[in-house]
Amino acid sequence: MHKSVADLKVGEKGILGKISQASWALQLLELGCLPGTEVSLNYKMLGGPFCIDVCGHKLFLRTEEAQTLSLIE
Amino acid sequence: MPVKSNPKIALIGNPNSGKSSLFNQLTGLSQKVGNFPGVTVEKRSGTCQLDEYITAKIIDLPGTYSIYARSPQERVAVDILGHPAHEYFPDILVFIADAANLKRNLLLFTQVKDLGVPVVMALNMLDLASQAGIQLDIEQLHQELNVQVVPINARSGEGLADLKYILANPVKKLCQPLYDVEPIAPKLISAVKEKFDIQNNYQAYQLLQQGEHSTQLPQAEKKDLQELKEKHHFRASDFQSKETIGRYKVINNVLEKASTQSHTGLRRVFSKVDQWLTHPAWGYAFFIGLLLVLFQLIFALGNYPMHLLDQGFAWLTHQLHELLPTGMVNSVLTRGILPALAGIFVFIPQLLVFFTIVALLEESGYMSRVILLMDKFMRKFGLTGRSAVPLISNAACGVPALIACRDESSWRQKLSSIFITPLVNCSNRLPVYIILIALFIPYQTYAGIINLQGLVLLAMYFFSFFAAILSSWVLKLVVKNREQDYLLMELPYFTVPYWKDILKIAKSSLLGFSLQAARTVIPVSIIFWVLLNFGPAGPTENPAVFQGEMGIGQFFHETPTDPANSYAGELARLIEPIVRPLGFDGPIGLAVLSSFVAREVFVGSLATIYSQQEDVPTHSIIQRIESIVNPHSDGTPYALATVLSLLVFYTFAMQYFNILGLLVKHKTSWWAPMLQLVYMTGLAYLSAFAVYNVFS
Repeated sequence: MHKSVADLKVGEKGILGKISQASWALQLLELGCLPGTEVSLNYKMLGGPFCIDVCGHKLFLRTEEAQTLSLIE
Repeated sequence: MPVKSNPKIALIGNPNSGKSSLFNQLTGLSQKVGNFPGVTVEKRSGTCQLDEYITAKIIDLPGTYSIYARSPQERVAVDILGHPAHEYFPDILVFIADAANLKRNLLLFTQVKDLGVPVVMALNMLDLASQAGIQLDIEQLHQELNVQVVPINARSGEGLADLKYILANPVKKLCQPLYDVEPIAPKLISAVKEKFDIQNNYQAYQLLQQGEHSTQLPQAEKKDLQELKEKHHFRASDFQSKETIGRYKVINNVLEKASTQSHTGLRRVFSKVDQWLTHPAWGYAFFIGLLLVLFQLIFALGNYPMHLLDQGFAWLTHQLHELLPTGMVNSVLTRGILPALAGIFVFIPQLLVFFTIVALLEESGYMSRVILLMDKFMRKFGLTGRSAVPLISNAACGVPALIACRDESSWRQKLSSIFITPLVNCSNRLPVYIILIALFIPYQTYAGIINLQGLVLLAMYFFSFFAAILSSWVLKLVVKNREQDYLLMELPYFTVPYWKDILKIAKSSLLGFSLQAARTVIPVSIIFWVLLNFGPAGPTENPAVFQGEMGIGQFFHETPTDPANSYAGELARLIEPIVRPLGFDGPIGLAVLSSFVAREVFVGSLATIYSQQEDVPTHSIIQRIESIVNPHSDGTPYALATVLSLLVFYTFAMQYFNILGLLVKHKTSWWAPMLQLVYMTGLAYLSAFAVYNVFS
């Protein structure tokens, strides 16, 4: 199983890899979640939205949405 | 470039980039502005005097992250900008960019620029950018993006004169696309260009991507397009992601040259605050605490001016009653229309506080935190965090509360639109609660600061909130929601609200509510006056009326027809057995009946009914209500049980005329509205019955 943004610990950084098929994949791209960009997990709520830092701004994702963003190891 | 005397100028930008503020600044129109994504839901237009000679038509396009539409509202943008022949195709497009999130904003910018629309960039929120440690080189942006860049502050109006000057004296030059899509599908694009006689690569490519939804393209051309796409194996989302990645490469290059980022502590502080505000425990605690405080404020601030207004209305009624000759006109005015209007307008102070608070919440950016906070919880009921917003404020009524009812099967959709939508829909419940509470619930304070009225409002708020989400949950069980929605959002920065904006919004909400109320209350009060003053026994028992109609002598006694013998009295007797189990008496029953037109009519009707019962109709409405004795509660004014029952009744009872209008507009079958009426009234009746029996 590939590591995804949902597996990041608070403060941990990673490089985005592929976005897996999902209806919101293109929206993630449009919001700047491009393969090769650096992300870091800002904070997360218990099971709730994840707040990530990507290309200079904060983005809030649900767990399912964060799981579609895989990381390069 | 020669300038037309009235050029069309369109505004476009990402959600929450200040587009609506700029529109308001340019046109002087006060359009709804809010600090959460998705406030502008349709295109609006106004005019702007650019200089002595040129008046431009300003068109506000819905905010969107990219030219690829995700909703019918967003489709407006591509429909207009992708078709130079469109009647709204702008002579100049103003792209409003949020400087603090420039990278993401530039995606849409490069897309509209490559469509070949002449663009000017209005760079907004530079103050927030420098707060976040971002420095921008405007000259460099101008060079790299090949566009005129004007720094502005859309809220304060700074830089507006420069923008107007540039719009009045545009420089048009042809230039290379910032990102050329041709290599993605060279053969297909040239085929489309030839077939549809288009010069611009990106226009042709967008036709391929989104042409089938276009309102501009005739059906036959859509078919041609489809054939071309099949022949050349057009892979829409593959190509779109290629394009997006390519565009970001261009944007990264531009920003590397034109911007520098340094670290500031401020962002970290805000991030901490957000972390608390969206915390599953502290976030809710804060939210409920905030509502409690705000609801307390509504009544604490409104109580004193309300009594002043009440006395004012009583004085006015008295003066009119004395001034006008005794007769029909006098009676209609002082016993019909004026008391009814007073019944609603004395509560203006409370409503003003309420609308100001709602505007403040929206403007500050807190609503977006509520969306995040509620998302997880609301999804269990088939709603999303976004649907929490219309349940709180009436401002975002254009945002559909229900996302769950997008189902293939039409009978399910029909069922849900009949039985669930009216429960979830935001339909101005809070203002009506406020009026009823201010009127009926005594103004008592506990522990010096907490007043009963505010507590009841909070309770009613949660009651209707849970009614809405529970009904949505039922819907979720009936309709299997197959469509995936997503949260995917960013938080707008907290902004210090501009009082000018807040007051403007509060004023227009209040005006809207008042006008709507006056429109319905006046005719209803006249009808009531007639019903109250004429009876089935007619002329024989009321010789005064008869004589009056013949034009002989004095028209009316100082004491009119005994209401008990009037048509209204008859009607009240008919209704009373039906409403008695809810704790209502005849007059309340009548007023409830009238409020099927619109909820706020209730208070007006009640005031009209009660003003018949005195010799001189000059008592204030509040004194009058306080002096009315509820027959079902030994001597005390309206018992708490009756009032709560009434409030609960209004949670479910329909504003029938409004919804009827909508239904008639959208579908033609009459059985659906009838069924809805029966169902909603039944629900209102049963729940009011339950509440009355619990509390009495």
